[in-house]
This record gives sequence, structure tokens and C-alpha cells, in this order.
Amino acid sequence: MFYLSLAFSLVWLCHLAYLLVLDRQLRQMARSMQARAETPLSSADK
Amino acid sequence: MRRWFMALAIVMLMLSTWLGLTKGQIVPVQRNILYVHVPNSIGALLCFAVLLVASVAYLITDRQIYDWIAAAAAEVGTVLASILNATGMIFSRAEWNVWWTPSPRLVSSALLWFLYVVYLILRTSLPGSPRRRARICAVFGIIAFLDVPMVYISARFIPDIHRPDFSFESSWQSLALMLGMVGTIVLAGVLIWLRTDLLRRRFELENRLHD
Repeated sequence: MFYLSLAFSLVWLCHLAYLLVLDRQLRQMARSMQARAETPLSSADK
Repeated sequence: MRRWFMALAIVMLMLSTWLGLTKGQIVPVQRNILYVHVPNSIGALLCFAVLLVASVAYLITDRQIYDWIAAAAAEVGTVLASILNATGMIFSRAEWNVWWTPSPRLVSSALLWFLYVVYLILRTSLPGSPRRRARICAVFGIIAFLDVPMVYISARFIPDIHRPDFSFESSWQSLALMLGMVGTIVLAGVLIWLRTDLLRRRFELENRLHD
């Protein structure tokens, strides 16, 4: 029973953690792209 | 859309776990590990098949999107292959009292995992232009895929502790495994989709910063 619980916990933990990490990274990336698009160019950039 | 697929995969995997551990329980109890071990192995092999197709497509068309898909498939496949090896070792310990034995399928599975870890290392460490790196990785991805059929056929043609003639006693067991397989394949698809999108957006952001 211990090994069965270990295997199932490991699989669920890996699947969910990976899914959530990727989803979060993607949302952060979308936010930074939006911020970049909305920020006007500074004089240094010009 | 993507959220719906994520939810669908999670619901199918939850159903598979519930069915596998209740109505479709296998005796002795440690054999129920196959409800997560087999779907993850199928998922890993399919990811490597996606990597092969994307690598070939990249070499033919030279389009960046195929390189991103190949990278995403390699990463997701490596995660699933890690789970495959870990659950296999846990099953082996519970069933035969050893963590590892040099059987053909175990060795070919471990080799597969190493090959794709090498692929991921190559992607980040190869010098030169991104185009050159993508082409070398595509060639390596195609060569590495040669191990996939070996994993599949090793237990059928070489004497092994794995039993290719395994059969279920009830339809609940087949249903639980089928749900697990479909759920894992949908999950792998969503993960590849997310990772490809992330790579594409990162590329676009870097381009904007350089402009």
C-alpha cells in the first residue's frame, strides 16, 4: 500500500506542478508583453 | 480552449485513479501502479514521436515553429519518461523486492531517458547561431528516436520480466487504464501546446526588446 500511494502521489504531484508552472509562466509572459506594448518609448530608447 | 483541455485531462485522470482503485482494483494491491505507469509510458513515447515529426519538418521547411514544438515535446517527454522510470522502479521494489534489474526493457527505457536529457542539454549548451543549434538538435532528435521502437519491442522478442500478454479480469480495469491513457495523452498535448506558446512568446518579446 505504501508503494502504491508513493507512485500515485508522485505522478499527480509531477503532472499538476508542471501544468501549473507552465500556465503561470505563460500568464507572466503575456503580462510582460502587454506591459511592453503599453509602455511608450523613453528618450533613451529613441 | 486550453483551460478546457486541461480540465478534461485532469477529470479523466481523476476518474481513472478512482475507477482503478475502487471498481477495477487489481490484486495484489501494488499492481495498481500500472494505472499510472502504462499511461505515462505511452505519453512519453508519443511525445518522442512528436519530436521526431517536428524535427523532420524543421529540417525540411526550416520554419521556427517546428523547432519550438520539438523542444516542447522533448521537455514534456522527458518529464513523462522520468515518471515512467520512477513508477517502474517503485513497482519493481514492491513486486520483486529490487529497485532495478538489468532487463532489456528497463535498460532501453533508462537509455531513452538519458538520450532526451542529452537532447535538452544540447539545446541550451551548443555554441553558434540558434539556427545551427536547432538543426543539430533536430538531427540528434531523429537519431535518438531509434531507441523508441527498442523500448516497445524489447519485451516481446527478448526474455524479460515484463509480461506483454497481460490481460484484465474485468471491463472496469480496461476502462480505468483507457481513461488514464487518453487523459495522459490529452495532458501531454496541452503541456506541449503551453510550452510551445511560451517559447514563441519569449522569442517575440526578445525581438521586441532588440528592436
